[in-house]
Amino acid sequence: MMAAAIGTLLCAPAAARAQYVGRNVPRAGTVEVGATATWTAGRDAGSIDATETSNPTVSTSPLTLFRAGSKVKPSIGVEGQVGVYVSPAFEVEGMASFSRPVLSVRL
Amino acid sequence: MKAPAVWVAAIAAVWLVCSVDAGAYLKLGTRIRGDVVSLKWATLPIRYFVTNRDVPNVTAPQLQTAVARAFATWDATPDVQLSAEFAGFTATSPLQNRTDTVLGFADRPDLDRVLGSTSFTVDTVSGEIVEADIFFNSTFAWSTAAAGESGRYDVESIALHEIGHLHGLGHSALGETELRAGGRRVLSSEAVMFPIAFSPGSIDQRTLHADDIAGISDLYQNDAIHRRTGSISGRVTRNGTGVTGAHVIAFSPATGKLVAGFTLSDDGSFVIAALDAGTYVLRVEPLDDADVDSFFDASMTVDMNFRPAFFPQLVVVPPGGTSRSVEIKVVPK
Repeated sequence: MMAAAIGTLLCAPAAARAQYVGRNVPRAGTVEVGATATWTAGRDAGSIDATETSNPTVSTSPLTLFRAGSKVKPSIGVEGQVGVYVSPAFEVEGMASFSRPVLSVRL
Repeated sequence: MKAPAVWVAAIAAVWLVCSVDAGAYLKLGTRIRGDVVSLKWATLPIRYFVTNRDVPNVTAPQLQTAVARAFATWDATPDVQLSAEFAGFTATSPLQNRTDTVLGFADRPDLDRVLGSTSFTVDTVSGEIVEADIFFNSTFAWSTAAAGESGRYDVESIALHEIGHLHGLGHSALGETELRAGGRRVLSSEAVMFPIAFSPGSIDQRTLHADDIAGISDLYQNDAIHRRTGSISGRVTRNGTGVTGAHVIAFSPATGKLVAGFTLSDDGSFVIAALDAGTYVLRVEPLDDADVDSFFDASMTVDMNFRPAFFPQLVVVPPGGTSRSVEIKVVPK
């Protein structure tokens, strides 16, 4: 889940940023807002067997009770940024993103 | 503990006590003024004597060394504050003693499918274990060789199982067996506390598994264990009615660890405690009908008329907390 969330952040396209020149330079207190949608591709998260230790006179391999195969399903999300200009040359910006990647297990 | 081809109940004490609800697999308990109380030690270290008697291939000092290693293995469980101390050799047999904790070999040819057994003296007011005795059946061939010896049972492995009982643990059902001519053979297990031993020569059961660690951690809970671990609780139902005696297995896909418990009441409720925090797959299955007497006393009616099933979602165990209550629905066979 954490890996999926990180993936969401990395894959999200950067929001378009304004370029200011000349007399359009923002003043202190100007607020800048951006939002974007994100999509994270599904991926295989690997599989693992539930096993028990075999009686060595019966088998040298572990006995498999069942197999659990994990997969992160594709998910969409949203991301938003808010910036506040402290001065024409310095902006403080915050960002948040949200998605709900689903981890499913096949048995 | 039973030899591979067995039918005789292994722990005499189990016949006399009840299974305690709420816990990783089974803990031994006794009924005090209507309440079931876990059997456990309140005074540590556990001071034990070893019977000064040799058997072919194993001397009393060799037995003592193997037993000390088995105690140390339990004592090394993370955060569990257990300790044991060798008090000396004694001429007393573990079968005769009722005042001190004694471990040793004893002749019980009549118990031709019992490798070892643990018995207790219990304070019937508090449930505290006052003393316990373990006998290793000299009818069988034994070994303390580091790598094991073909045709001989490993003392340390069997001692580890019996000392689990001595601490207050019951049997685990995390294992598979097959019925063969002459008895039942274990195919695999994932708990030292599984009631049937591996074949002679094996030393695979000298190491505790996740199920054993969860069980002893649950029995001897303290703040450190409580903060680090969590539990899963819920019910097993068939057509809305509770299923008694169902074996519930919690499997961690992240670590591969297996820990199991039982439904121990008519409403089909269960608790698997002392689990590492994380996500779990839950599977429920009926007990093998051959194993019932190894886990429950005769007063309990165990329901085996259902098919194995999985809970359809992963269950999250938070550290220091309990999962949301789950209901695992099963269908008749």
